[in-house]
Formats: sequence, C-alpha cells, structure tokens
Amino acid sequence: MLTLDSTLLIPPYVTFTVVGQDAFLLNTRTNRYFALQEVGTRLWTLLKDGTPLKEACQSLRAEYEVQPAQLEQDILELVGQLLDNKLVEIA
Amino acid sequence: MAWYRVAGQELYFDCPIGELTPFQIAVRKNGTANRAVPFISPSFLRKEWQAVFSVLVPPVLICQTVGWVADAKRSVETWSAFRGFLLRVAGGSDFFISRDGQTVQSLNRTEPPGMLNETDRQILLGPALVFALALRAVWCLHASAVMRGRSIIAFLAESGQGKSTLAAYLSQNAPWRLVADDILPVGLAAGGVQVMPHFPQLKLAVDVQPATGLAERLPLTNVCLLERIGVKQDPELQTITTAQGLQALLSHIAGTRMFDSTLLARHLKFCAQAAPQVSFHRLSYPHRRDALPGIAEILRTIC
Repeated sequence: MLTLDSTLLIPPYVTFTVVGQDAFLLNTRTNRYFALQEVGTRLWTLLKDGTPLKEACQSLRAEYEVQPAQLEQDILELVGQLLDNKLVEIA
Repeated sequence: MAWYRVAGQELYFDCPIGELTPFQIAVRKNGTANRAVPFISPSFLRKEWQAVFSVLVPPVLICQTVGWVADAKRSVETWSAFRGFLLRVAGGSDFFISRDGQTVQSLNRTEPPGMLNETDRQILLGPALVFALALRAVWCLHASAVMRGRSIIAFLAESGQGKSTLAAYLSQNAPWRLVADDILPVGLAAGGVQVMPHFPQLKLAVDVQPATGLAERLPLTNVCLLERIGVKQDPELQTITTAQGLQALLSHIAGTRMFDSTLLARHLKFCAQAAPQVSFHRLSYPHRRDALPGIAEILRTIC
C-alpha cells in the first residue's frame, strides 16, 4: 500500500526528459508518453535524485504555499497515477 | 544546443545541425528550453497548485500518416501535449515541438549530447522544421523560386516535374537569381505575401545555398504551376484564376498531413488571404533543354 513512507524507484525502462517546466516520461515497454506539468516535474526531479517520498513532500512544503493535508493528498494521488502506469515502483 | 534564425523565425534545437550553421545566432538567455531547472514562483503556484499538481496526462494522438522521411516511407504521428506537440517518426527519435513553434527538443535520443544520427537529422530538417514553422504561421511551399529585379516567381510542382531544373537554368543567366530549390517558406505581412528564403535547401551544397546575400523577407509576385507537356510541344504561359491558385497553394504546402484541425484551419486561412495577392499562372513546360531559353523569354513578360 502506498504511503508517504513508501520508498519509490524509477524503473530502468522509464526515460524522461525535462522540457522547459514540464517533464515527458516514456514507458519504453508500452511506448507511451506521459506529461507532468511544473509542480509534478519538481516532484519527479526529487524522486529521480533518490529523495524518499516523505522528504520530497517536505521539500515541496518548503517551496510552495499549500496546506499540508492538501499537499499529501495530491502527492499520493499523483504517485498513485505513476504506479498505475508503471512509471515508478515501490521498492 | 543552438539557436537559429530560419525563415525569419528564431528557433531553438537541442543539438547543433550542420545544415543550419549559416542561420545560427547567438545563444539567447531567455527561452523555453534553455531553462533546465525552472525557478518556481510560490505566488504563481499558490494560484495553480490545485489545478495542475495531481495531473499525469498522456499526450493525445492527433494525426497519423505515412510520409517519405529520411529516405524511407515511415509512419509519422503527431501528438498534442500540454505546451506543445510530440512528433514521432518510425525509426527515429521522438521530438517535442513547443506550441509556439520555437523549441524543438529530442525526448529519447540515445546519442551523446550534441550528436545526431542521420535519421534524426533528416527528421529535424524535414517534418520537425516544417511543423515548427507552421506553428509560427510560416508555411513551407514545395516550390523552387527565382528572382528578377524585385519580382519573385515561385514554381510549384511535385518532385521530378522540373522545378529545380528550371530554376537552376534561369539562375545561371543574369539578372535571374535563385531563391529556393525545393522548399520556399512563405507568410503574410502587411505588404502582402512574402517569401523567407533563409532556409536550408538540402539538395544543394552549403556553399551554393541561395539564401546567401538575400534579404530575409521578399515579396512574392508570381506563382507558376508547372505542367509537364510532350517534348515536341511548345511552352506556354496562361493566367489561372485566384480559385485555381488557391487550390495550388493548398496542395503544395508541405507537412499538412501532420497538422491538427487548428493548424489546418490556419493553413486554409493563409491560403485564402494569400491567393488574391499573387498572380497565378500555369506554365506548360516540355522537358527538353532547348526549350529553356524560350521559357525564360516567356517568364520575362510577367516580371
């Protein structure tokens, strides 16, 4: 089950490119692209640098003005979508 | 990473392209693609947070076709994404083209930074460049063109119909001068229809590119639709109607099969606005060398 304490890995078959403020993620197994807008791109950048999800959440809280509960809900929702599309894995 | 000024437009590519070297400009400090890690304004995000954060969006396929790219018939797909389009040509890398047409960036190239394989080079110089320019309202006519004084004549024809041969012949005889060999970017300006000859003509060597010494924008005065006739027939120039000219423009602008409905609508609007501002002719043209001087004489009557 996904929680903020989960450790996430980006599988080797997922490639990504940052274009301006967005990120394009490519699942090379399905040959499908996904796009992240700027805040999602910021989260992705933290995850790809190996930042644990909980720490990534704290970083975003420091960078953006958002209620903690809202932030956590949004992060878990987005990571859920990343998991559903096999763009990240739980270690 | 390099900025170029092609067909009067500033474009950014994420790797240098030899054929565009004559059009390279100084690196700009501001732009979409050269901000690898964006500075994020908290005040901006305060407004946008809920709307954009929990979004993982698959791009949407808007067009799928088959085209002749990089010396082969390939599947070509265009996809719409947040701030631009993805161009996917079978056998090549995928390219992002920003919605403003200024940035072209590879998404999954495997070569080291700055390196480009031959297929990707031809995709960039072909469909990617044509698509990016279309987003900036510059349309690539499949045409050769010559200039005589202040008059420019574009020759529209499919490949193999003699448009390059005719333009090359004319340009060998002063005061004719070559403007384009195969692709002629055109657009609208306050003064009418303009050609933008600062564009790489890929079938010509770098040292004989026609753009050298030409202004960035020139008025387009005449368009000739080439019609191949029997070698024993004589060349003939006939004026055709604006409606026929419009049809010729519509069918000779490159890359339209990649366009979404918005771009197709802009393309139609351009052709409809441009056609009444240009004189259209049909040049019946026998493919024999000794007919070329006579054709030059005929063309003098319209410029």
